[in-house]
Amino acid sequence: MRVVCDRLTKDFGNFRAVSSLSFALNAGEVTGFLGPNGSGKSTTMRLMLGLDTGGGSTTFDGKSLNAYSNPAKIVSAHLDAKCFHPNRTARNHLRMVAAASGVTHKRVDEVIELVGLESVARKRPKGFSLGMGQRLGLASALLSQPQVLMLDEPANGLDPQSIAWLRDFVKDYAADGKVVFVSSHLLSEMELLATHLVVIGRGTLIADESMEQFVSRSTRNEVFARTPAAERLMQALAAEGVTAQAADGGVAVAAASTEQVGAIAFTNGIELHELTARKASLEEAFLELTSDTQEYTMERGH
Amino acid sequence: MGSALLYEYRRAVTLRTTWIFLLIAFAMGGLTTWAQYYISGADNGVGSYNIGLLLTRVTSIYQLTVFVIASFAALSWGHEYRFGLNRLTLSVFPRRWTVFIAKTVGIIVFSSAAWLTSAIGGTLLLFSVDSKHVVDYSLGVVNSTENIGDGRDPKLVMEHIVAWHWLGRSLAFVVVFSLIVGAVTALTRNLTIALIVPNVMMLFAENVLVLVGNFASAATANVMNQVLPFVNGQRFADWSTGSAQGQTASASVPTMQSMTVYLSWAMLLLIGAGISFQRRDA
Repeated sequence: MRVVCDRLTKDFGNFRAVSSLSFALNAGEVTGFLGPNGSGKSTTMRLMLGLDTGGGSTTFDGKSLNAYSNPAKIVSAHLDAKCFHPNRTARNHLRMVAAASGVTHKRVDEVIELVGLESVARKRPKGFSLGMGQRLGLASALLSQPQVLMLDEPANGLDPQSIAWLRDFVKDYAADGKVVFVSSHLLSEMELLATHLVVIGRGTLIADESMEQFVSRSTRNEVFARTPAAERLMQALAAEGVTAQAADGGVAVAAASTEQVGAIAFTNGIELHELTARKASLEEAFLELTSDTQEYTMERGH
Repeated sequence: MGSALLYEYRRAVTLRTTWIFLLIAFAMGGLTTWAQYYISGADNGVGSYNIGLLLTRVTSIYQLTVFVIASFAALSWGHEYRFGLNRLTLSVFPRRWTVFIAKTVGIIVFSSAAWLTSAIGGTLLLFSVDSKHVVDYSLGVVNSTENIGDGRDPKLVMEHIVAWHWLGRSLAFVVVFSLIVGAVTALTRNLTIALIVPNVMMLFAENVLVLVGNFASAATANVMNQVLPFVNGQRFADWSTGSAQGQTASASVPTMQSMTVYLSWAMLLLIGAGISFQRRDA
């Protein structure tokens, strides 16, 4: 299964929420969907599912969702942790969705067990915590074992154990040859989960590449050298056109490899006690690469 | 379409509200019939009983119970938007017309069932308070031509007295009213508005409009009488505008026109709701 989004566009009055967004999702991959608040992630997901009307198209193996006789088998989504009637029991909610998806009651019991809701399956979800709501939403998305699983902030409200379970589950699901598309603000979690990233800001595409490629674009990737002759090393690097600055009791070198720095130090007879390549985290890369597209920002220091 | 209907069925039967509404409809049917029995039937004595009167008693609950019955229609759409279920529904059924038709069918089926429940409630209560007279007369109509006096087959006689029309009319009124409430909910996406506006229109606003029209001119009032939905709907269903037993084919013509007006409004709103549902964001 391959999902292709072609020039997705959505306007709310004069405000363009999503602007000609094109990207593709591949089977066997967990694709993370990142963007600052208000960047259009949820709107994009709704456009992909045909829930919102707008420009562009989304195809699933070259066909629109409408062309499939049982769309629930193709794509299923968990978009909202509170998407249920508060007075319909969790089991009945799932049985209702199962009726739509052509899924048996046996499968309903399976997913209840899978997401760990057995003890509350016969309870009305009005008293559910956010985490339990997430589990119910996830259960509903998993009912039909779709080829494409779309999850919007699925880890919100989950405890650490549940997050770890979700991560493993989603990875296994993708490894089974399915497409998984997950949006999340938990960047540390996304770093462990996704292999591919689609990053948007102000409704436009910033990146559609592998996690590694995205992180490597950050200027926070540096080489750290610990040496008793920091001043000499900085001069030697500057002479070779390499920018460096004193940091953490050593020298931080941007845009250079450990091999390069080591060679310059060796040539100049400078003693090194440590030479490490420091990779930027996804969070650092994300903050840096989306800094111009933050729709809503907070003042620091308050 | 089959799975959309099954989904709609499961949606309805797994909510306690649905059963509560049915129970209320049953109780209101009984209570309204009981009230009518004491207000009119008891004073008229045995001789006043006939199938027409029985049926009008049982089915005249529509004005009071229609609010309860139509609430189901409002909730059918209203819950979708209130709890964000529409996103879930439409992600499973991307073909929106399928969902719209399934919901419309659901509303027709439920409102018919609730009407029937209400009518059964009324009948049971009527029988429980005065079963002898009611049964006596019912049996009399079926078994004897003497009461009717034309010597024809009793079944044909039943058709002749037109009484059964009132069952259908009451049912039609309730179903169309429910469709209107459902359509208004789908259009406004607001449960409160959908519950209040049609009922206020039916019970007060249209009467006031006709009254104001009367002040302007008789012609204006006449036009309003011809075009307003609920005035026409009630005229169609109202047992008091023509007694069941005296109704003739020619006398029913104006009320059929009323039904056409009433139904046209419902269709107009349904089409609007369908187009809106098709085009708007979920």
